[in-house]
Amino acid sequence: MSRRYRVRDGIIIRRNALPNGDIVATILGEKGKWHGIARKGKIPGGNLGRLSLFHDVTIQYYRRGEEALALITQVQLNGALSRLSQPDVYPYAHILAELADALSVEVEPGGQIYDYLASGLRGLNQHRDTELVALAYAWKLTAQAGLAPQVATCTHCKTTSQLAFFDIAGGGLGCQQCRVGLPLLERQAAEVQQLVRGSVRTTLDMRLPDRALHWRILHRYLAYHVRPLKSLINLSSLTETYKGEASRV
Amino acid sequence: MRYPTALITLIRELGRLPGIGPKSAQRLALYLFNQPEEDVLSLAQAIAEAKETLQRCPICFSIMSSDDTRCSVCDDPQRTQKLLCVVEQPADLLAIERSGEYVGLYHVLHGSLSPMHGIGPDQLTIKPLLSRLDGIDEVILATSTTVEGEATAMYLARLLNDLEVNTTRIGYGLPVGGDLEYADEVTLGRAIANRRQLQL
Repeated sequence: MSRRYRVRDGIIIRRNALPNGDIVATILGEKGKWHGIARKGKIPGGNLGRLSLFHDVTIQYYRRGEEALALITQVQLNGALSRLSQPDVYPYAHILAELADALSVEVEPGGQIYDYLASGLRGLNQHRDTELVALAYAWKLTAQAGLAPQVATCTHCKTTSQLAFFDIAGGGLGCQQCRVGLPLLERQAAEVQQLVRGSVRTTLDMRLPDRALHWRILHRYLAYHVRPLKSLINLSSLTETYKGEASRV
Repeated sequence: MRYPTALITLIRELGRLPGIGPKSAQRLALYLFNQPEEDVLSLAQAIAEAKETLQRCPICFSIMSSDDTRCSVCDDPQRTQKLLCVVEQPADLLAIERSGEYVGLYHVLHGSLSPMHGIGPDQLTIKPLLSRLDGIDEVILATSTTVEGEATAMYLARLLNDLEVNTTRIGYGLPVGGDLEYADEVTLGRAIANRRQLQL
């Protein structure tokens, strides 16, 4: 096989269908993300029909020189998560995929963002509390990119006690003495610490009553430190719990 | 050699069309240059006229002439008025019409839910759909079988079930004339899951 043909695994994190039937896909794999075009990929059946959003696939592609878009020639499906299109899961899957797209780069040596996205999508597909899964994995993905907020100490004076604020611009929790940022109850500050630093397993055992607040913190933090996510802005119109709170974001 | 400004402008404008790359745009521009003047003017006039005289039907949101008050489907009393088929794009409507199997009304959403692209329920024609359900016996959800189309269908099904409207989804399965061996796993899985009794 010509060296111009290559094979890579990954998850489809973005898919744009063009009016002429072509599909431009963004694929996130263990070695980073890349873009490819499937000529007439919208035609049902055949290999390229597997090129759907959130599918885990192995792709054979052809790239000439330094062309930005690889030409996708074959697609093999490794796994599809059937629940991701359900109304109570779909908006959260979009948040994780868009966040992974925003955080990942073309060359990523470790592949941790891919691992966490795959794990997060599986969690959304299996777990009953999909909103909690999405919150937990959104913070995990942010942390994997080295952009986690500082939650162990106050971002200003470094004290570990009386943490009761979330300072978006400062990048973490603040204390009662410094008083900078969004005011939190002691319990809510502990929940932020758990979401950011705790294991996913223990996070998914939490009750997390003030979810609108946690979405607000995540939304504002990502808008400031990563980029505004369209899927987070749209969450209000697709889910019930976020309703009424989004206008305050 | 530097191209004349008019040629550069034409190549740039043609290159903005979907599926037309810089090389194709250049080829098209040079092809147009070599065509008789009346053919080029006729093409330009057709484009301008289409943009000027076409608009969305106020009922189903398909394409209609601005001289009309509604599209030909909505205006046709012979069509079954109690059956409504929801599609993503006007092209989907035309595809179903070509099948010759459907005689009801349509509703065009103009897209599917895709939060990461900024498309939520408010960007689609969902509110007008919900306001035209009086006298409708069945709504057929004929959105694409992609993840986005599937999610849109499920979202609509939930809304329509709350309004106690009989809602169905187009069938999934294998293309006519296709071999099982060459079908993709998802289609094959859906075809098995949605199998039906053979009526003899």
